[in-house]
Amino acid sequence: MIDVCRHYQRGPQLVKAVNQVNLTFKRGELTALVGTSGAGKSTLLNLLAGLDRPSAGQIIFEGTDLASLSRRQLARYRAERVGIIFQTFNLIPHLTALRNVELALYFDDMTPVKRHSRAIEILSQLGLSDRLDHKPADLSGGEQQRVAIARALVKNPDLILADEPTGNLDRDNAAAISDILKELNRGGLTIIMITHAPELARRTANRLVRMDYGGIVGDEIIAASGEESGL
Amino acid sequence: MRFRDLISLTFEDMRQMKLRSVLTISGVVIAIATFTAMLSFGAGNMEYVSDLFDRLGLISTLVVYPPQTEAGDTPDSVVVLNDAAIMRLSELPGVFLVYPYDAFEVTVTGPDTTVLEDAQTLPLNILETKLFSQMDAGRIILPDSLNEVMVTSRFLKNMGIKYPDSALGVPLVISTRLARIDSGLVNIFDDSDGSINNRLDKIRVDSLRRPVYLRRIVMTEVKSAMSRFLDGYMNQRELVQDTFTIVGVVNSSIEGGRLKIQPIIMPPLAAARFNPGGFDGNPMRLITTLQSGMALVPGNDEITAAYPQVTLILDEDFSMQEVKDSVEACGYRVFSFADKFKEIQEFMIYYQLAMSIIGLIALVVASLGIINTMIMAIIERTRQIGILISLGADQSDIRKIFLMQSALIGLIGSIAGIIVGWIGTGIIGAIVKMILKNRGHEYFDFFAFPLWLIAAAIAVGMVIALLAGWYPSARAARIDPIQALRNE
Repeated sequence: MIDVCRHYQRGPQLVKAVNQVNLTFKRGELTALVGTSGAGKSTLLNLLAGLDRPSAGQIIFEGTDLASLSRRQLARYRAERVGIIFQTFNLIPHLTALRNVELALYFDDMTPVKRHSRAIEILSQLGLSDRLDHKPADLSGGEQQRVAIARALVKNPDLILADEPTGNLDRDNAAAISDILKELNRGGLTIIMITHAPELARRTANRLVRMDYGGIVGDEIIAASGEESGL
Repeated sequence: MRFRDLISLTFEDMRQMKLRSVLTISGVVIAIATFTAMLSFGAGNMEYVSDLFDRLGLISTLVVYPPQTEAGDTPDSVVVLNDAAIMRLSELPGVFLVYPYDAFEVTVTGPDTTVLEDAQTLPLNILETKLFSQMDAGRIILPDSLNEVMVTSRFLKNMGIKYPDSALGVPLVISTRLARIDSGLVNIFDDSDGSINNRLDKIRVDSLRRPVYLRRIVMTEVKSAMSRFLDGYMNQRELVQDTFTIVGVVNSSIEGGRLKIQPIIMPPLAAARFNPGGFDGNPMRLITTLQSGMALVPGNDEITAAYPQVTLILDEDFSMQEVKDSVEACGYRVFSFADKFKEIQEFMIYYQLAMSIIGLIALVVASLGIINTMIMAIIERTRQIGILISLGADQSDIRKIFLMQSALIGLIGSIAGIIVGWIGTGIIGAIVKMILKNRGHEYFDFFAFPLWLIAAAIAVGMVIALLAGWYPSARAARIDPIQALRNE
């Protein structure tokens, strides 16, 4: 991210949600973004996800500036390269766990049969093989978040963006989810995670980035990470 | 996004709002049912007319009339429809058969009642054409039969016979009183009352040299002779009667009208006994015949030889217009059933258009229901839209999802509407038919559902639904994913 700004007008006031941010994320890193509410963490994550566009600056992903992509190209980027995990899980309530995971592959070119088996495989890996036909309301919070993680992972993304993935979970489930993320990172997956819990950040991440008032106020390596990335 | 995924996603979404979906679809069902019912009535009538024209071969039938006589026409310039004209018409290229309208009045006595009816002479080869191929009951008259008649449903009604089948084999005594020229002539010189002698006695022979006196005597005698002729001609008519059997009841749709099919039809040989070219006692017929100008034509002394109309049956593969032009070139007026059919078709197109507009009003109302449902769906599914965008859906995917929902509402509503319309019109048609049948009226399938109507109803339903879904889907596609994901 090079001199990335995200400013917007709220009435007469100019809000600088993200201001002059310069960051480089390495492949295989698990970065925890921490900061107070309104620090600009979620805005930064939305910019990285291609859900929002910067007011200024560049976001270079493997040599391509996301800001220069069309809406369709950004959608393709989200469909193929990025998996997003939300605090509130954001599962579609009337679809089963399996269909929620399959949904992430609807915008890919995978055949329905492959899609189906891939979704079952990933849910089974996350210990949900007996919950395939359950709707979100029939699952616990931890299970719902695991389904959300499965949905993010099912398309083999290069990058996982997690917006407070344990924010709505009890301690045990939060620990379980952080273990899963840690495990995924050990497997070489790049993860950028927003969290309000410093101890979770320290326990899970290998890099800690602090934000305040839209800018970066701290960036520390907690543990050795994977190889250098083009991100 | 695959089409199949789009449909399954849409169905799952619709299942989430069952009641609203059902109500919205119901609106479309009612609108399409109304639309199809209105158009199917027109289609049914058009199908009936088209089938009738085809079955009876009316498309290749022309009716020829003599031209209107105008003041100043000399007897030589009057064009009439007589036997010579019929010969000329029959020789025109493309003309297959020609027959004149030749009718006369008879008294018909059936088993229970006696009525005064018009009878018509029709050559047997005409009875073998398509025109008489559709009988309500029975068959046509056999070639060697002199005592068989065919009747129309109007005749059955007049005779109090309810069903065509029950008329077959019913004996009829047909009679008429024929007036003859010789009866008139004989009466001129009939002096049984001595009036001629009385008048002759009174004539002063010496005064006959005086022109005034002579003229008065001659005028008086001519007047007297004319009066005696008419008295003899009209009042001393000969009774002719014979017994016939009803062998067929002609299709009710051809009676009357331009073809002037009369209640009783008999072949020329049988008719000759009742209609030998004389006056049958109806003064109006005498006046009409005289008005045709035939009596003025030199060399023609039979007043019935001028026909009011002649029917031409053409070769089916010949151009009707060419024959029509040839006949008109001879100075006659021509009525073409093909032209009439075109007129009916044109009328039906306007009728269908008017009906479509009424049906479309119902569809517009239904489309408001679709718009309402779709907007509600977008409001309720804003978060879902955000999720789909975060998973990789682009604007066109979101637009397609909502357009697909509209289209499905339109499609399901259209198909169900056609079925409801078909059942509804079927019930109405059956009731109307039953009522008409019981009252002895003609009936047919008033409603028809041809393929074009089904295709049109589905197309209209889909187009209206897609138009109704256009704005909501565009609105859905414009939703900001970040705001949508924050939406509770």
